[in-house]
Amino acid sequence: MRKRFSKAKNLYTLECSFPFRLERLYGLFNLLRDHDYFPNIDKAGRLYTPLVMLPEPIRHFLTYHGEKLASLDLKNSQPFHLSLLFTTRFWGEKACRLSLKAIQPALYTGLKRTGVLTQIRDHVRKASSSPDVQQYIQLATTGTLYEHLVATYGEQHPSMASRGEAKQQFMVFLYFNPLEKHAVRYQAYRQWAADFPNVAHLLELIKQENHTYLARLLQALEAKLLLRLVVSEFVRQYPGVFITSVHDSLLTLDSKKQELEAIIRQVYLREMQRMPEIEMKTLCPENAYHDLPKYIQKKLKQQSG
Amino acid sequence: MKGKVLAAWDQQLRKPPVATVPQNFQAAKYYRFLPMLRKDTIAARDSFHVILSALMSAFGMPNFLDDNGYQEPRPLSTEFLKAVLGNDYCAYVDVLVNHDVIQLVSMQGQGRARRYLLGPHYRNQPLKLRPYKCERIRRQLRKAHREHLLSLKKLYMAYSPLIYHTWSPDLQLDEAGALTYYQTFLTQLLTHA
Repeated sequence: MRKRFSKAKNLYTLECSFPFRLERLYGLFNLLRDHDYFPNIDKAGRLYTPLVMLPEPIRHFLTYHGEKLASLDLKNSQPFHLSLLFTTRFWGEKACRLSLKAIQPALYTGLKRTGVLTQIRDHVRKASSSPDVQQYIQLATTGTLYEHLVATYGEQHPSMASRGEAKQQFMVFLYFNPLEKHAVRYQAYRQWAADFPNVAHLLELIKQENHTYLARLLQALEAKLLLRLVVSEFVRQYPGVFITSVHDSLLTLDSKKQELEAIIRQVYLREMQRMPEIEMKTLCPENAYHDLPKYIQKKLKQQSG
Repeated sequence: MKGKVLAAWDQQLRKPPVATVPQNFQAAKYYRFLPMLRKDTIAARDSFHVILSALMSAFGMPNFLDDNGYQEPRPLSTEFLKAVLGNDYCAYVDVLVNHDVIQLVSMQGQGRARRYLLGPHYRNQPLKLRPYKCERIRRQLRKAHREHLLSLKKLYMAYSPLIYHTWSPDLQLDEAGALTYYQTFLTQLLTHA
């Protein structure tokens, strides 16, 4: 009965939102057609353009001078960037290129003033070589973190039954308010925190003052590496070739995707001493239709969840 | 007097552009220049092309940007602006004529204009002074202008490659295909729900 009610409710919500969704899409089309954009940059340094707002499958219908585009996604992007937080250099006094002081000076000052920065430094110094941190870094680097979550916790927690769900759940681990961690709905987090105590403790330390700090920090790291370093290197080597960003992925010409991939690897190896897993996709309508059932499932889960 | 000036301004903003883009402008530089202007002009899209056309006619694009793609524009003549923008803008032109054109574009937003003219605490107050008589306005404009230029420069220098390409007319969306896809998606979503 409850299921039937929830199904009817979903249908009703969808039908109601149908015209609004289309209208929003039309609005985006108009912006793209007229090149009437207004770039915006948030506190973390991420760039927003209408391309970012465009639904993911619709990007398959974009071309540049008639040429197909390709997207290069960083797999496990934010968990991967999180592994950088286990280096003492990141939290140091010196404002080197990838340090908190350089990328988020306001956050650095805030954490320093409250004394949390000292606690974080102590923790990182002690815990960076512990087995759970090393295991986490390995999982994040090989792009198998979500698969690991499914295999380990999938049976007990239906919220981590598939890769997509595990991803969503891990984002909750990263961004929820740790003051609520004893609530029933965060049982999965408590179990994960017991297996990765040093990782969880670092997350909680960063979120101690304000639980949005971690999100801002990871987004800033992502923007610094992808937008500032990778894109500028690409533009230097291939001036005039199309490139733009959609947060954790970059769009370029299909014919230049190998070159961009090489630059991403090169930059990450230089800056983080490890390489992320990259997922390359050619953007074309056939691929959009091919992924349609998956996209529908994803949206249905979001609707019901 | 909430304004007569602002009301007239509003009316002017709703009019279609009176000037058109000159035929001889260089498309690439036009698009490079856009982000610098557009950051604070979301509220004033209609008037944007008027201003831009005026700027381009006044300066001529080739000399407008330096090799780094960034340069402080030179002042416009009052007569020219009056001719292009119409009489409703005149009250502001005298204040703005010795300042930056970017500032001029920023002034198009009503709230912003009010804040610049009367200060942040007078956002909702009616305008009581003729702007061109007020030294305070000049001071505020200069300050806002400096900050604005700095933020724009930062934005532009850091993200110009991305913004430049996103702005390019070569980036096209197959609207018909995208719409068919999206309708298919929504229909199937409804069927599955």
